[in-house]
Amino acid sequence: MNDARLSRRQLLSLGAAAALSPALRLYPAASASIAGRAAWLSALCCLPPLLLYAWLFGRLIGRRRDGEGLAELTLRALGDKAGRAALLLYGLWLLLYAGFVLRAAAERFTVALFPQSEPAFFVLTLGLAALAASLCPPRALARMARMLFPALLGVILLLLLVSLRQIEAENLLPLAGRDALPALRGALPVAEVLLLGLYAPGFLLGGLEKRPGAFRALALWLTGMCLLLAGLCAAVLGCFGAEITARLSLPFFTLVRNLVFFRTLERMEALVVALWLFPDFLLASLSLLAAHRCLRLLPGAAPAGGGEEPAVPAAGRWMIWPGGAAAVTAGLLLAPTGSALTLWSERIVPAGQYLAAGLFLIIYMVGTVKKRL
Amino acid sequence: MRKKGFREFALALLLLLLPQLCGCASLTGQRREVEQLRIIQTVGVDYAPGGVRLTLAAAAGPEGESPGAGLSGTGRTLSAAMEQIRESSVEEELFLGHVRAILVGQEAAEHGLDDLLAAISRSADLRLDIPLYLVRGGTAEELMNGTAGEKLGITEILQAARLREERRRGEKRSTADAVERSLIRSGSALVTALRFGDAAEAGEKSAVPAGFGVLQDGKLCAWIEPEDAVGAELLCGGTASRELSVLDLGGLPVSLELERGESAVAPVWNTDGSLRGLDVTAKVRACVLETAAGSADGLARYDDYLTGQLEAAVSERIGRVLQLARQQELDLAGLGGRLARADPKRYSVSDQQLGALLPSLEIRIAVQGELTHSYDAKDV
Repeated sequence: MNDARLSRRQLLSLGAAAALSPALRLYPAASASIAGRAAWLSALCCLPPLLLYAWLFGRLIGRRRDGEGLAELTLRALGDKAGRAALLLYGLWLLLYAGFVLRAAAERFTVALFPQSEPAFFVLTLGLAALAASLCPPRALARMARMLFPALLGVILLLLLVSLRQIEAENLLPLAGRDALPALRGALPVAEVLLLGLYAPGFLLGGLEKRPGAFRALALWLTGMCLLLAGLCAAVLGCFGAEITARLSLPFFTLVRNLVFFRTLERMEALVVALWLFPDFLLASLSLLAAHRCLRLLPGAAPAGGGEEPAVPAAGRWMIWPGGAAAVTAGLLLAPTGSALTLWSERIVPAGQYLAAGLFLIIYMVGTVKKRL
Repeated sequence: MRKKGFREFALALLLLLLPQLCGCASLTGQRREVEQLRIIQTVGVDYAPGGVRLTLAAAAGPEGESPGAGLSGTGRTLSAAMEQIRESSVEEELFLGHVRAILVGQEAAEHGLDDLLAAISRSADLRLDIPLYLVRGGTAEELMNGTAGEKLGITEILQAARLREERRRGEKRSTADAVERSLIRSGSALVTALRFGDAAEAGEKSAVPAGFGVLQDGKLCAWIEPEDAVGAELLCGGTASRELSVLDLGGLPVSLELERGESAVAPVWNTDGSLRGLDVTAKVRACVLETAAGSADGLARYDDYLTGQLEAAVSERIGRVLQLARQQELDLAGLGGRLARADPKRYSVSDQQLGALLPSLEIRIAVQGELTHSYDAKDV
């Protein structure tokens, strides 16, 4: 399980491509229901606090030694017992989240494309693909993300361009001072998505050569993602208005269904929904890999440093199998109905994401105070 | 060796399963052959006691049968009616992914469009911006079946109506999402109306323009006459390609073509900050299409008079629509939203409240007309 030869750009692409999966599921509708027509500003509102988080997170990963990822760093910062407890929490959370990603992707298929089909089939297929990917070296996943992200970005930008004709100013304006607070509250779903894209690739940092400038790279990444999400939300809101957007399950894909390309091509949503398999696949695989990075340290291997790949217990690799099985099982069981999935999507998963992201700040503080970092 | 064999097995399994995700295979039971699909292009919705009656028209059957042949079914809900059509139809598969327009009969509109709009929002097949038309004085089924034997089927007739409306109203045309948005924001909406009538082609029947239907809380409550449609379109933002007839100095009829018209709405405030009235200003550009023989076309005085007539005609039509809005206490043209954009700092009255305020507001209408040119031979 050699993580070597990863580049920072690959990891950032992996985070960005993976974040596109929950972004398009969650963001326009969730923010529109909170912030109304000001929702398109929500992505920009969350940039300052996210930059602050990125600065602290950058300081944490700046303390890593060569060959260390977030899991090894956590163990070193918190010590043996607390560190393993934290890793167990992260591992379980990431497996659960991988299951949720599989279930949410399946829901998109049944809602947008195949109304009479069972989500279990899609959960199983995507779960198997993610398991296969997590058995490969992480650089394969990262390289795939590096190739896919420009394609996904190109598709989004093309869709935004085509949707420009249908955008109505009255759906986006006017905005008044009283819209500021809702716009800030509407930033919560955006922050949830971007925090995940920020910290999850951190578990693969072991394969990245230690270099300065982590914060600058993260800040640029965050700014680009916030602008992209703001543009995306403006397009959806501009076409449908906040009231309708808030009611839709998958507003972005509904927008695609409405678009006519060059006055001739329409009903392209099947292609776009199918294309969005890749972010789902990358996110599920990344979650499985990250969970494995946490769980493999539990049996007792000490984290290594000093330019070497952390020692992985020989038995560590087998954990991917039960991990994958657990994620697929979670995907099959955790939200049997659409309303249960909404509950997970709007309450449980956001809470888990904020806790997971927040715990890294605690790890940084504890590690600094105890002079372990 | 065993490991390699397992990898190959896993890869083969994945290659088998992955095409299912993009509909390229049939394990999910979703595969449909194009030849087996009856592609529905127009849907008619009518009231039936205790439920709804649906009529579907396809562009052309797989065997080339005439377009517009209707399939009808009745049920308590739209889905039930659709299910009845599926059950009783000999067609293999009804495909709703290319529905071009939805027609709603007058009685169904009087009972309310909320269920229909909700069904469109939920549908995995229908577009949200699907054009909506009301059938004035009749049912959608009558209109669809009445045009079934004609040279042009209902789908082609509605396509022509859609193009006409696009030319006149641009993106402001009455689509399902625009109607729903307007109902949410102001409690009212305008929907383009058609009626079953004689086509320009001799002996043919068609769907002819019949103004607008006014919805209040989702239910049809009034009509705007076709001659006042220009006023409604101007109040909604703008219009184009409309013909207007006025009288010249000698009382002879003159045809003008409204090339472009746009309006602005500005609030008038009381000193205490409350809304006192509205200033509605419209700018219209028109050209002379046709004058009667013997008219004084070409003289400056004649053009000035026609410009005055144009302004008066447009003002009268805007006035009649606003009068209807005041009577019904409806912000039917979304004026509240326009006021909010014109003066967002001071405007705090929601769209819904503007409708209730309308009867008490002072409304001033000012129209600025411009005659650009004349197509008439005498002008040369």
